Amino acid sequence: MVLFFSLLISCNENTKPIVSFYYWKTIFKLSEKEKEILQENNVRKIYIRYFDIDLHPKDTNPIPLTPIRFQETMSDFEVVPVVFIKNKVLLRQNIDIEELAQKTIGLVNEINFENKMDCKEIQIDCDWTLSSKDNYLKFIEKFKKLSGKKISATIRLHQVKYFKKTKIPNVDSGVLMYYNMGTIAADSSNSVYDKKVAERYLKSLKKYPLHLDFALPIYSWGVHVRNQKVIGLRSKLNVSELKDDKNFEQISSFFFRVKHANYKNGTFYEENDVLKIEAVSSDDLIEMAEDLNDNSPQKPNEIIFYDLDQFNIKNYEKNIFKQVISCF
Amino acid sequence: MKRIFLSKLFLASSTSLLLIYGVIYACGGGDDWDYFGYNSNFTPETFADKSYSPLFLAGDVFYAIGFDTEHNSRFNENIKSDWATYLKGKADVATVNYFLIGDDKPRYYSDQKNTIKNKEEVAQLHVYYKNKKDNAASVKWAKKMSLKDDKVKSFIEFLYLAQKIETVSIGEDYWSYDPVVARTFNDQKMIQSIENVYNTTSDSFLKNRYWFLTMKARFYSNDKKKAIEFFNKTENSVPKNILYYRALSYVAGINYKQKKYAVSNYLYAQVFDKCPELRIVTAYSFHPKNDADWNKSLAMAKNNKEKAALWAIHGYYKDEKEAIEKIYELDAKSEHLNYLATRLVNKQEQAINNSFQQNAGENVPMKNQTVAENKTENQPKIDKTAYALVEKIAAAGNTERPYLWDLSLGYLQTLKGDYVNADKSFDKAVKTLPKTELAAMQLRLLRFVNNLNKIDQLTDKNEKTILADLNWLYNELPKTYKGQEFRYQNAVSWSKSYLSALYKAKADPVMAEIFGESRYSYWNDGNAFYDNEKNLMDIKIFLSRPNKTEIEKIGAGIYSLKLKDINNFQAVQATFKNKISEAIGYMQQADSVQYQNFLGNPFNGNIKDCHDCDHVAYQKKKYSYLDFLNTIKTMQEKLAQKEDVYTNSLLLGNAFYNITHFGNGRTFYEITIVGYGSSPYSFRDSMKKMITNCDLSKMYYQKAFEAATTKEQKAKCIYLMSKCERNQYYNNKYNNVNSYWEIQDDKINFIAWNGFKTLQKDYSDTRYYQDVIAECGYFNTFVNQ
Repeated sequence: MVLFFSLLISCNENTKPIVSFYYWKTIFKLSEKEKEILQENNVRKIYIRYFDIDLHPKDTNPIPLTPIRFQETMSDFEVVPVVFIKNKVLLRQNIDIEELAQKTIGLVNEINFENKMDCKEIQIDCDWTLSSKDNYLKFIEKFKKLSGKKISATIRLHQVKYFKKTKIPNVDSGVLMYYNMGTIAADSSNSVYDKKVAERYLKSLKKYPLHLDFALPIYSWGVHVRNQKVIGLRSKLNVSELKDDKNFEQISSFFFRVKHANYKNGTFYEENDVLKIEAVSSDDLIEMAEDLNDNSPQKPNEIIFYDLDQFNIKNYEKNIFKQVISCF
Repeated sequence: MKRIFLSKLFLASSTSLLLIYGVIYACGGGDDWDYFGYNSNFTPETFADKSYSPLFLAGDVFYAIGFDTEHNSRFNENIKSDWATYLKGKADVATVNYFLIGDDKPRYYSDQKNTIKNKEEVAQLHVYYKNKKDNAASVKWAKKMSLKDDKVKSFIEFLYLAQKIETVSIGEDYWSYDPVVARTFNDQKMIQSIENVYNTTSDSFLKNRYWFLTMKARFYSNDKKKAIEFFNKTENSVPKNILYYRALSYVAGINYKQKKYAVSNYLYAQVFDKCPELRIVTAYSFHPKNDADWNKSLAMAKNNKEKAALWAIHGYYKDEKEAIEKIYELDAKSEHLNYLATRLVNKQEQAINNSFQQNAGENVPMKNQTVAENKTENQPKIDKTAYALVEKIAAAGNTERPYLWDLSLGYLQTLKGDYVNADKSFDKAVKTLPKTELAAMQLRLLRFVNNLNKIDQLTDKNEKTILADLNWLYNELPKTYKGQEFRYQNAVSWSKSYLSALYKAKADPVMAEIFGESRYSYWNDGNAFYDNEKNLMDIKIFLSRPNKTEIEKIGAGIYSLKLKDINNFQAVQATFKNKISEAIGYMQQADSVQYQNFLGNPFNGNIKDCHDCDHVAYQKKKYSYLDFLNTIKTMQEKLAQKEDVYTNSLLLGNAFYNITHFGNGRTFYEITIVGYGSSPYSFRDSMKKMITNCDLSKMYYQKAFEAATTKEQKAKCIYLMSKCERNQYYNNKYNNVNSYWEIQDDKINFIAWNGFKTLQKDYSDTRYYQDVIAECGYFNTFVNQ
């Protein structure tokens, strides 16, 4: 009994979750800054988006989009391939789920083979809905059986809260995407993280039967607004960059107005367009970690940050990742 | 399929949008940015050349196609006809096409077996020419063409070299993987030998093609500088045909890759200008990174036409107004103005509210607008500077297509409420209008929209100004117009709403309904207008009245409901009210509906409510709706005579049970006015109440119980009543919430109904009791707890 007890304690002390990252670009190449972050945080595991699956716009057969290319050797890391499946693929009439699972595994294996890599785990990312649920659950079953690997899946907040209706895929573990909480809107809300929205879901975590790790956001983007309507998302934009651009004028803490029509990063901005920067601060990240820790039935094994990109990282202090995991 | 198509032109990958999840929200539920034009009276195809059509205003990247669908095939026809002409008399068209293109459908794993072997045969023929020894391919093709002919030989040898380069420019199939970002063609010897043929051949047709092939090979090599050098050296000696502009696009692409954006964009704009086939590609590739790039590109333009080309492509990304203004100054006759003008007008239309409804706040139904209110909302939305620009250009009349500007101006005047001047503009347009079907229809449609807009109050006189056009829109066009382009659907729905609003203002609910048919929701046709008895009677009188005015005739013609549908509705209502004689009367006036059969036997009452089981079960007699009602009537008469009370009551209980939501005969009530749906939430409240209420059936089961003579009979009645009791519980529970998602999990997953208790207490010795235990897990659980 004494022994058992002490084991528990020592376990508790040692089981801080590990830090890992999502890599969501189409060419894998790490900058010096990114390498530094990986080293400082002892990152051993990277979740790499391998490809998306969409429907061919003309003949509506499922096809992979922009498969990853490696320009960096990956021998230092455990790679978890992530495949993003668009919900509409699973909504397609008469889709052959078994064939889709086979092709998906085939392509993952081919990518690994061509790049002399291997993997123990594959992650499936899909925002499945009630109508695609059956196909999705079937896909996971087939995929798991055919691949013989550990399978994880991303889980959205609403899928946690309504799991009796949306069901739980038969995976080994899930990753809760703790972002994308609200509507992308022209108003002052933040679609990336909103504590009020999060609170509506947090209580459901305790009842969720699948083990969850957590994915937290470190990205920021600009919501491009014209005539009070959202016309697009502009990635890799932050407040300090816009402050330095004379074509933009800051009108409140995260709203910028276009003073003069201009091209920026290849996007055309008309005069009087508005950009809303949605970002997550260090304090937000700590708050998220604390809330998740208070409400989850089990400790996560990993905290995965979305996404690894030096543009995102420079918005935070160097030790932010350690600060976050220390909350668990 | 070309790799570039996947990696570059296919926009909506999760990378370029970061996360698709957000985008689903951004466009309000659905990950497609759909077809655009539902809100439009202005058909851009009337005014601009086909090569511009992907650039028409769209919610998507490209109008109507979404993305570039021809990236790998856009020149196929061109290439085929070039070579067919060259080889005329030497090889037939089918053979030429076979070797050139073969099968251009996308390939997947599954159909690899069926792929044709044209490429392999070209390689074999090449070997044949080299060794002068026959092989399978030479034997096969010698029968169809003279392999010794110089032109045929040139054709095959050209293909042989072209195929070598194709290995890097075209990917195998979608599900294959290439570990490198872009494959390169680095066989310098091969490239040199292609260039040598270019240098030495005297045949101008072949020379031109080898020139392009050299460019292509150099473009895919890892020494792209040489491609530009080669182009600069030879450019002046080649004809300015499609091949030239394809090569120029390569040069633009290399400059882009080298981050020389200003040059790249300048070149793309020139290709856009001169090569209609590449308009969509260049519009997509044009990509200034910042203002400096753009201004540098402008500075590179050597003349007004080149400058106009830059503004033309820029106008696709940016506000069309400035582009039109600049181009008009530089080159008033520029063809590019046409497509930009259609975008400008379509953009104005986009803001218009055609629904005659107004948002009244969150969770409050939309507020209906009067015609005047709708105009007050819409008229200020027309952009003043856009209007002024169109007015100026129309007045000058010096563009390539003056009628475009006259019609645009007239339409904007309509939208602004200036109907008199709109007429004048339309009259002016007639003078230059081309004699095409589309142009004539466009003019007629815009005149009609103007004419209807003139009407604030319907009178016998002004009614006459729109009758012919209403007939044209509602009755003639759907039958006669076979094309896809002409946008008249919006005028159809807008004019109906407009007329409905006018009738509403006249306090004529029947005509308001006739033109503004109210549907309960998108998924469910139900129509609440008929919940009001007076409305129902009035519209029946209207529909059966013989002496209708012209406009009334048009209205009755387009109204989707006919007398029979209303009679059918009355029959259903009367049945649920247990007024069976009335119901029979109405059902007999419901045309073929009365002969429709129930899918299952409506007089059966089973332990489990299982539609599908009842539908597939053997049925000795199939009941039509009328049979059903007549049988009920007979049973009720017998019941009144106290004849066979138990059986008749039991069967009547079953009959009324089966036509509720819980029974096996839902098709009885699923009609247009009631609505359709497998969940009661699909129905409006009045109908939801009607179809979920089991009181009538319970009343008959009670009667049967009282008349039952055996314990078995009593047990059955008790159980069937408890089904009604159960339904009642769920009705109460779920009727108070508005949707499936709001149902709270109250942890009640088991309730012991009174019927169950009685059944267990008093009837556990019956056979029926055993049947229930065997079939009804719920009851079994209750018994065993």
